[in-house]
Amino acid sequence: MTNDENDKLLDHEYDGIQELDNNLPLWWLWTFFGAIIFGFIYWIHFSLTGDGPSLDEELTRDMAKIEQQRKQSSQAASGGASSISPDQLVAMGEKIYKANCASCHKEDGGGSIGPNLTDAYWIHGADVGAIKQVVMEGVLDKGMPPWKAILRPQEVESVVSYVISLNGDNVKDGKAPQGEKVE
Amino acid sequence: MSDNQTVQVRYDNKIVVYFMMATLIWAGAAFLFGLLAAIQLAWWPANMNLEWFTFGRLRPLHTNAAIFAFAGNAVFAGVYHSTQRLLKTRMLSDKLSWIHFWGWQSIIVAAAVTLPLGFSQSKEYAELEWPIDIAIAVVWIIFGINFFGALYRRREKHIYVAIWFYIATILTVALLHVVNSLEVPVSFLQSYPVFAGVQDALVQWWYGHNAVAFFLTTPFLGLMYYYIPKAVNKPIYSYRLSIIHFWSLVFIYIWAGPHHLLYTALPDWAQTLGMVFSLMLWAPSWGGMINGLLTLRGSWHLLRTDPIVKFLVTAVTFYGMATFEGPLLSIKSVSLLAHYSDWVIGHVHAGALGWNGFLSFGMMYYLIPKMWGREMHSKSMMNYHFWLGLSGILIYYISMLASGITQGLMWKAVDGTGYLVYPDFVETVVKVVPLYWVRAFGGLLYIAGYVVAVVNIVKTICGAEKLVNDEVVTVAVKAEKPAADHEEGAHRKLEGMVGTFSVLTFIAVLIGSVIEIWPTLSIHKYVPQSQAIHPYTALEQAGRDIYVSEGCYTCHSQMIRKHPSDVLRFGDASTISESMYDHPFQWGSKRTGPDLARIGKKYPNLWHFRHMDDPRSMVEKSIMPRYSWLLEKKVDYYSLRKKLSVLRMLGVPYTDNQVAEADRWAEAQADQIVADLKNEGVEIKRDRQIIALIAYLQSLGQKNLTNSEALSNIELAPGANSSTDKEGGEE
Ligand code: HEC
Ligand code: HEC
Repeated sequence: MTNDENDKLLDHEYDGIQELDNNLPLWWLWTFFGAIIFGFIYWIHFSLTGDGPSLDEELTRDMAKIEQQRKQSSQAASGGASSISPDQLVAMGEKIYKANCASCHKEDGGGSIGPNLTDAYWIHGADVGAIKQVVMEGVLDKGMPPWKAILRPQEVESVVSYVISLNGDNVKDGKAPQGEKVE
Repeated sequence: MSDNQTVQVRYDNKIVVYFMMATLIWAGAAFLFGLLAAIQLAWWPANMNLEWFTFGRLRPLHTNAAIFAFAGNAVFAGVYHSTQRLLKTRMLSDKLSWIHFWGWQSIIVAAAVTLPLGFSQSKEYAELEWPIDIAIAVVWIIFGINFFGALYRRREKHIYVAIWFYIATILTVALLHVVNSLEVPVSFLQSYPVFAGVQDALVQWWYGHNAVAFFLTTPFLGLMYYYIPKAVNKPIYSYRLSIIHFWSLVFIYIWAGPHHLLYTALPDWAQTLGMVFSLMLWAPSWGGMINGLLTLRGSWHLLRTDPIVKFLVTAVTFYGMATFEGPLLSIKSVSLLAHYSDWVIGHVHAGALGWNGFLSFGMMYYLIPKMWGREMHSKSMMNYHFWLGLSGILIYYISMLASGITQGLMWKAVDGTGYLVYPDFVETVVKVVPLYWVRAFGGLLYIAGYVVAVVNIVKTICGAEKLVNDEVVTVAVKAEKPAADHEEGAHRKLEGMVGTFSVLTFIAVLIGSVIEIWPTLSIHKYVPQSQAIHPYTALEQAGRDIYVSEGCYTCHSQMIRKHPSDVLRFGDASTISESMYDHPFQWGSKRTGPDLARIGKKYPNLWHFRHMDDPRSMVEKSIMPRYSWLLEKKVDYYSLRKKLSVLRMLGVPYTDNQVAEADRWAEAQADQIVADLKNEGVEIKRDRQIIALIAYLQSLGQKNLTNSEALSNIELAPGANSSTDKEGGEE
């Protein structure tokens, strides 16, 4: 211990423990003041004056941006005429089907929790538009989830093509028919 | 000095030794539960398909054992040892000391029995049911009386900084525990908290964050202030710093709870306060670290030669690291990435294993030779313990940091076309499973270090002559000096006035508490009619109780944050009103599995039935445990009358009829689900737990009243109630 420090030694003593009285480190003081000043300004900006956007405002703004992006990208996709062939589309759809749909409609489309997609019976109609509608919006009360928030337009396109390609397979051990027969 | 008198004091060493042994034993339990939980996340069958050891029940067992059994007993050992010496007196009463000791150990045993059996409130670190909560309060007060009694009888006028921290600990933990445990029993081992939804969330995280602050930080800072100068035989670096960082820490810490709730439905102003106070907390925390580390100036060589100093200094370094990371994680944008992820798990373990664990072991290595009058059996074993432990912590921390950032980035990733890059949640789970193995290995190393420590300690004790139960010392008692020749600073004066000191400390923690909690207590009253929601039906509430008791919150959140990545993945952001009847709230803090706030109607009943029985039958790569026993175990429908009446007392708008006929109401809805499942080819009796759980899951996110429906709909009797028909809606 230096002499200098001896000066700083306080005359307290607890069970042999003594204390120096060094000054607070300057950098430490500045981090403390800095945080307080920053905190105060932040609080004024977001809470007191309300100049800063609220979380709800931020969310609305960001969601609008995403909506915009979605619109643009789907326009771009439809505008640029589908650059992929129908076969490629079905192949892409198969992947998406296996990842998202097979748990309910079974790998081969024979149906388990969801209906059999390989028979001629349809609950919501057999045309592309109807199938697309079901896939996009789901059937909430019956447990078919909506996919529009998760799958991109082209992915929906592709999985619908794949579903149509499955249809007519009439797989063995498929689920009993549900809905109307569509010739 | 001539004006000094001497007295003989008998320090109670036996109680210290007992608390130390309890620390060692419970540490083993806490570590093993932790390791098992870690392995289960990497490989789910490690739960051996036993309901008592599924993750949802095991994790609370692990956290409670680590915090209250391991760290708690270590704190008590250190407090009982250092307080006597710092105050030059024995504790107030040996009897109280032993009631404290055995009371605390019984609480731990009660926790170890009830948690695996599924008696849990599912509020983090406050899972224990009401009879145990009462026992905790009583034992804590006994500890307080014993401690403040000793303070009153002290032979040292002024109190040292370690004692300040002990005072803050005892007062604040009592406050936190009592407020967060306000609950109404429905049966011997079940209760509903009086707070609901956002209130419960705020109170819980005010408690949860400050359990870290006042159970795992302030008492350990107190221990640091005693054992570091003792171990290195040097004066504390700066008395001024002690004063400033003590008061700022105590005042600021209490505000920081809402940083656990950023981007949630908690009102913005509270989130902002939580964030800015967390940032301000950085410097006060580092004040403690600086005072600990700089006390070593000129003695750094001890780091190489003295294992005790190694443990203590590393502990303080981890404290510094964790208290830098804490404010960082509280920044809103960082929280967005890290919250619900494994990063937070890494963060707490740097604190728990590094700061609390190493400080406890350092302290024990200092105390054991003193207690048994004999050097530690082997110095090299202490070094092995140190290096095994340190590598364990680093591997643990780094793997969880990597996993957390991976999860956060994958969850958040939205591509330029406005869609999620990884829409399939399981993909983000599978990705981090290898890191779960690495983490488990880190834990294993830490345990290996612990085993070395136990062997070393046992050998030391076995070779010792005999434990000295009472240590008799002669201490000097300073006579009061006349004020004239000795000017005292204001704070110095305060250190001589323990009553005033304690009151000021208590006021310091009350300010933040009241400002944050008070306004939220009336928040549900102002929910606009258009946003009001239906309470759960009787069956749904029964299912909710199962969800709570199984601890699903350990893997699932129910809080969709106000951010596009959450909204795109899980649906509209959660609102305050949606959880207004949730006693307790189940917003959760971890997403090992996906958020469930809007799981209702996403899947058919049959999907849930199969998924709960065996998640892999629906989601091939799932790591969720099986819950097959839900297909066997029964729901006690009759008890729903009591439950609903308690809930009504707490403000849930059930009608007389709904309460009086709760069981029949539930059975009617159960019949619908049973019929639906039967349609799909599954036969199951209506009194099985799975039916109630499915009803609950299907109701999540489905409770909003549409604008046209008036709140008064709820007043209708069951059966005639349009809302019940709608909720049952699987016809
Ligand atoms: C959680 C289980 C589940 C998942 C996952 C699921 N479905 Fe379905 N699906 C159902 C159910 C249940 C129905 C029946 C709805 C009804 O009864 O109206 C259904 C109906 C359908 C129908 C209409 C059939 C008809 O007869 O009109 C189509 C098409 C369909 N699903 C396609 C898909 C596609 C494509 C995917 C994957 C992107 C998918 N489903 C994923 C459960 C599921
Ligand atoms: C060990 C962590 C863990 C526990 C505990 C756990 N889960 Fe899960 N859960 C998961 C994971 C991982 C997934 C995602 C994979 C899957 O769907 O199985 C999941 C998925 C789910 C899903 C489907 C969510 C969706 O959107 O697809 C539901 C419903 C669910 N869990 C309910 C529960 C319930 C109820 C409990 C308590 C009884 C529970 N979980 C306990 C990990 C867990």
